[in-house]
Amino acid sequence: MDAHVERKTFLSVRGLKTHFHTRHGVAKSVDGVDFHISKGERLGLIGESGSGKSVTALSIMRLVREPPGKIQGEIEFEGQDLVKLDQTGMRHIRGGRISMVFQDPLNHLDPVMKVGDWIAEALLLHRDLDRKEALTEAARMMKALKIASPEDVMRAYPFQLSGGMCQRVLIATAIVTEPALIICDEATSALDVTVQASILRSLTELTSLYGTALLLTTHNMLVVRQACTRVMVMYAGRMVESCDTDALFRQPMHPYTVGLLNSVPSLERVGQPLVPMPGEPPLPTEEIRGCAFYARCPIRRAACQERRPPLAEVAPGHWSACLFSEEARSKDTF
Amino acid sequence: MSLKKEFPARSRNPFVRSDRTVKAVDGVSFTVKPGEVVAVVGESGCGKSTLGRLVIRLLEPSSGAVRVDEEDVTHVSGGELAALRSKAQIVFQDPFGSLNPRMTVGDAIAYPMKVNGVFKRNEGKALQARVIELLEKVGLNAAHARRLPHELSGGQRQRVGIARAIALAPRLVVLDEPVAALDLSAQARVLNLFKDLQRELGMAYLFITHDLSVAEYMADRIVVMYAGKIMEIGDRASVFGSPRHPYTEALFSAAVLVTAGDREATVLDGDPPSTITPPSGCRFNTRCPHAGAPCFVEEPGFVKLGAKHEAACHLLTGKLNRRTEAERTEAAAIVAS
Amino acid sequence: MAAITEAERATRRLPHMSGAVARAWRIVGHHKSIVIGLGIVLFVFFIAVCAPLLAPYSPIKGQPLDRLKDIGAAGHILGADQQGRDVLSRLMYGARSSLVIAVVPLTIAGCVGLLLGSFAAYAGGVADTLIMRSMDVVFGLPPILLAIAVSATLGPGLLNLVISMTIVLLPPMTRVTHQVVAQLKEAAFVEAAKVAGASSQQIVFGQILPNSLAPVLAYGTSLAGAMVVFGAGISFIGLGIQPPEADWGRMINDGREVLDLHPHVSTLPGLAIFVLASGFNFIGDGLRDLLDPRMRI
Repeated sequence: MDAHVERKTFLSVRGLKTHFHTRHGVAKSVDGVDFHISKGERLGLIGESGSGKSVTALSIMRLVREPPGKIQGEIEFEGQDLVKLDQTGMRHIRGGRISMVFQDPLNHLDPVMKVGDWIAEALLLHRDLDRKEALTEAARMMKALKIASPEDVMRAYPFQLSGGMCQRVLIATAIVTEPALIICDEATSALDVTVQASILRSLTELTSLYGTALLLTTHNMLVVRQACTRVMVMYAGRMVESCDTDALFRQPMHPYTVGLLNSVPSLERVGQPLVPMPGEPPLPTEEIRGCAFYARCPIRRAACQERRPPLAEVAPGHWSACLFSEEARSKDTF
Repeated sequence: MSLKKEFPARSRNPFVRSDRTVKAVDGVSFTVKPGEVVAVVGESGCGKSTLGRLVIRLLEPSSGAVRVDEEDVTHVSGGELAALRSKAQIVFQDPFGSLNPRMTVGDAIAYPMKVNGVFKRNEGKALQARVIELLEKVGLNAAHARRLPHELSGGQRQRVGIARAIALAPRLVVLDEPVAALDLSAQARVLNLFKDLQRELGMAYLFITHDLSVAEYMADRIVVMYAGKIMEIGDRASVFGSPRHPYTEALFSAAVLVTAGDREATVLDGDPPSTITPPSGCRFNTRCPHAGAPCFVEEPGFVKLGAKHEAACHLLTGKLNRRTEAERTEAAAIVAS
Repeated sequence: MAAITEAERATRRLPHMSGAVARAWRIVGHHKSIVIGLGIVLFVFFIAVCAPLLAPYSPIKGQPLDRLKDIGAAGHILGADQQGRDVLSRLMYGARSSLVIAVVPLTIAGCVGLLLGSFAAYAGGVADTLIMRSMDVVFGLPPILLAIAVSATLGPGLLNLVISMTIVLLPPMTRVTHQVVAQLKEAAFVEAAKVAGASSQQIVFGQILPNSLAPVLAYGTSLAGAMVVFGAGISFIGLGIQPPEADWGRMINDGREVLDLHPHVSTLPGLAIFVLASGFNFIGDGLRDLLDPRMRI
């Protein structure tokens, strides 16, 4: 990383490991992950279920229950190490400097609170405003999210609103305190595709406006393509590829990414057969020697099992954890 | 081979709550030919799941007709309904909920055959053999027959649901969002399985999905639904090559990763309308970027756009003109203030 | 979503231990509460059944010379009451009526409630409303008053107590069944059975009832403990078992007048009630897990 990037980086994750001690062994949900987020950047974290993307997001927010979880490594944010910060310190950060939007909006809204009050509460907790000012701010944020008649919506209870509207409320809650980073954990997975498009567009517009950075975890390629400037691909708790969004779709350089892109139907690849990847991802409790993707990789060889392949820069700004990334690239069908 | 047509024409399905009815499906007509794959695409609340159930008579239409093989099955019951079951089946969306947690995989697959008396009491071995045959057709094996649903993965459970659906060798299988609840890896495998089975057994599919790219991968014809009505219908090449209805365009914008040169991105704000009190005129008028005067008064009729392509929109009748990007932004601003 | 997939895959890959013994051992390990509960209940049951063989004295005939002997006295390990009757023997015979009150009304109400509730839920409409609203009416009656009313009409005694308890238990059992069946009715696998061509009868008996038994059974067992206590209470106020028959609740009442000097007369039967009720509660606690097909590893 050159100095120029260093200056703009405000969240640095180094060697993050989140392990859970369970009856069946130690589940290494996140097993050594490094990345950084720069100001105003929109970073996507793609992975299937079990890849560790959600746990990564939760680890940054220290929303993982410890025990049975245990977070190791370093998460440097605005001069503090979030891994070592105590709960009081984290409380200031959550909602104030880093906000989070979850997947199922109804479960994350207080059912007996009017939605407007809920958004205002975020402000009352983290800013020095009185109730009236907070409600005005909330209304302003709803307008910015393209909600017609925000006053009516603010007076409503969550059960009276649609899923898409509830999610917009949650986003408003997340943005209204003008945090440095918003983490969206599969935030649009439960929504219709047109609602998703609308929300993603609002998210990108608003975060550009306020200079807020975004971390989006998802299993949906579309989300990443529509909303993210940079992408990281996770597999079995490890980072396997990291690059610009365009580069990922045009020139993936890891066999897993290639396999993933070939197994998802897309309107850009009309007429091409879907090629599913054989096998299943390893369980987090499994001991893995060498590369985690070995068992399913079409270009595997003995060297891949010797040691865990490091994330290396295989092209400018493009990182891949495959020892033979050049070969992986030549197999793509994009 | 006899032509198979189904006309769930003008079916309405009211669930009466006090004195209001939910018009889940409000006037839908189309046909499915033998061996054809028709995809019904739409978002939540558009009525596609209800449509699927109407087609196989899990629900009874409030009006209109469903015809299978020239026979009107709209209001049949008893023996005739049972006969329909062996012609039309369904695969559900939820791989776990659609299997009885206390029934083994083998029993679940054998169930439709037992219930319909396909094998006699003493033909137990033949029944078992058929179950194993079905298991293998869907990519599982005989060992799975003794397992319980919770011991299988999502993809495997869905395969059991598929084996069960084809057990009676139906002519039509309704697939209700069959891969929506599956992992990405399992999705691809199950979709390919559908294709293989169709090639091998020649059944028609009514593929219900919210995912346009899945529809493109699987279908011969596409039906786009919104708020209980069909917006656009046509063969795959026409609908995907030149979508003409603004809602279809919006679905594309949301699903296509890069917008092609001449196709403007259409991003819809707001939510689908209520099906209890639908808007007067075109159902799409609350979110349509081109909505104009006629859209609030009169429901558009279908306009033929090609031999196998039609859409219901006033833009196509000349009563209305498309708005430019600037005009749309202006209109949106007026609504928002 | 991730958590579910993890658990699924974990289950798939657990080693299948061979032998029913190994499986039983594992179940025991996971369900200590059922084992303890069953142990207690079966122990009491055994004593109740074998009372004529085990009891040192007759529960009815008292020996005036042994009046109010304390615990540990010669010939009376647990002492004697005011009439010289041996407490231990009375406890043994008293177990019978407690067990009957715990089990019989629940079983009858459970069976009838199961049928009524599932019929009402599946049929819906007018039948549903009629049945469930009638249950609501009965539910509104305070159990004690109902017991008193029945005793006043039919006379006191164990049989009439069983009758009134059955009536009291009918609404909750019907309601629980109704709720479970109403939920199951909407389940996707029930729809799947319909599509397969099954008749309503086949669906109710083949799909719905087997899946409703577990929660209903678990709920019922949790009521058994309460029944033990309640039955004892009714006998305490004199409406249940009549003297000179032995009954734990009755015994508590008998010992009231000598509570200060000879507490064992009331306390021991009280302890017995506590132990038996706890036994049933332990069973109820663990029963649903045991019946869950997912635990059949």
